[in-house]
Amino acid sequence: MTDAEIKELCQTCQYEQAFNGIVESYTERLYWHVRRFLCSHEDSNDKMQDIFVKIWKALPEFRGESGLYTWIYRIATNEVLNHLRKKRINATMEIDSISSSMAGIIDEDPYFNGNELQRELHKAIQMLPDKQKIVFCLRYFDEMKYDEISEITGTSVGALKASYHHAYNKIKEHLETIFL
Amino acid sequence: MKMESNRTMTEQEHDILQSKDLKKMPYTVPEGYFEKLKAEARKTTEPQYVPVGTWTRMAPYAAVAAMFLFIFTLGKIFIREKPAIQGNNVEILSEAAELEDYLVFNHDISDVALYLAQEEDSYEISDDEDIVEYLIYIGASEEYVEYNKK
Repeated sequence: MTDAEIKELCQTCQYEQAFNGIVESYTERLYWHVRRFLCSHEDSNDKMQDIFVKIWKALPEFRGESGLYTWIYRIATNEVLNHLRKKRINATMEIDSISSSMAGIIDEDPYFNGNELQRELHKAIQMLPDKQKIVFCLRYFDEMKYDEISEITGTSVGALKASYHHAYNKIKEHLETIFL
Repeated sequence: MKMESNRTMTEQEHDILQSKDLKKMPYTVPEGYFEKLKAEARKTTEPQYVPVGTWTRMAPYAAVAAMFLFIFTLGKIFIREKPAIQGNNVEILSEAAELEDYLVFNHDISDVALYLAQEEDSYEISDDEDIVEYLIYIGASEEYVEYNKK
């Protein structure tokens, strides 16, 4: 089902069909988006259930003014950010210790199938502040345009470019100290 | 211009983040996971039965009961305060009546009549003779006593 078809279903109040269309088209993409931030398969799976509940509840409010893709990603990204914030508060940990615990998850993950460079890249991403992490992942992996990222995060394009530049250089430096 | 583009090319070649494999997803999922996830997600639209606990069911009744109890207690306090004031008066009145009865029973009736007369006249102003007697008693001058007689 295409985005246009899903939007049409929403506009004619056929929410259940629209939701099933979203599930069919977006489940995998959303899962990988969430997994990049949460690293653990179990955490990502739990978060996906929450995201679908949020999408289902918010569907009648979707007016179609923004793109369906950005609307869904905005919900998912906010959920992920809230999860990370709660995790940080609950653990009363500093960013550094959270990133090191995330690095531990990557090292012990039985579902991690990448090479050493990929492992270090994903560990380095966990060291970034939340906003930089999101911009970096959406731009670097999903190759999203800054306009779209701006719609998702609610941050100006200029600020996003600066954040991406900082994040890119930090990660590059980190990887170069290990591999070059 | 050509040199500049060559330098950019070299920089990109050395840029570790431009490695081809790096953008590939290194994570995997258990087999058949996405089908299960989609099936789970579709259940979101089904009306969900939320088990209601005994306390949740009883809460409104408990609230109404608590409210009535509160009003009843307030009413009790309010009603009790008024008789308390009246009760004091009743006590005073009954004390006076008891005293009267006691005097009638134990004393000569004239004493009682005198007591009652004193009680009734206790707030009346004394007559002129009393005033004169009092003035003489305290040693007031004759002129002053005469003046008050008038």
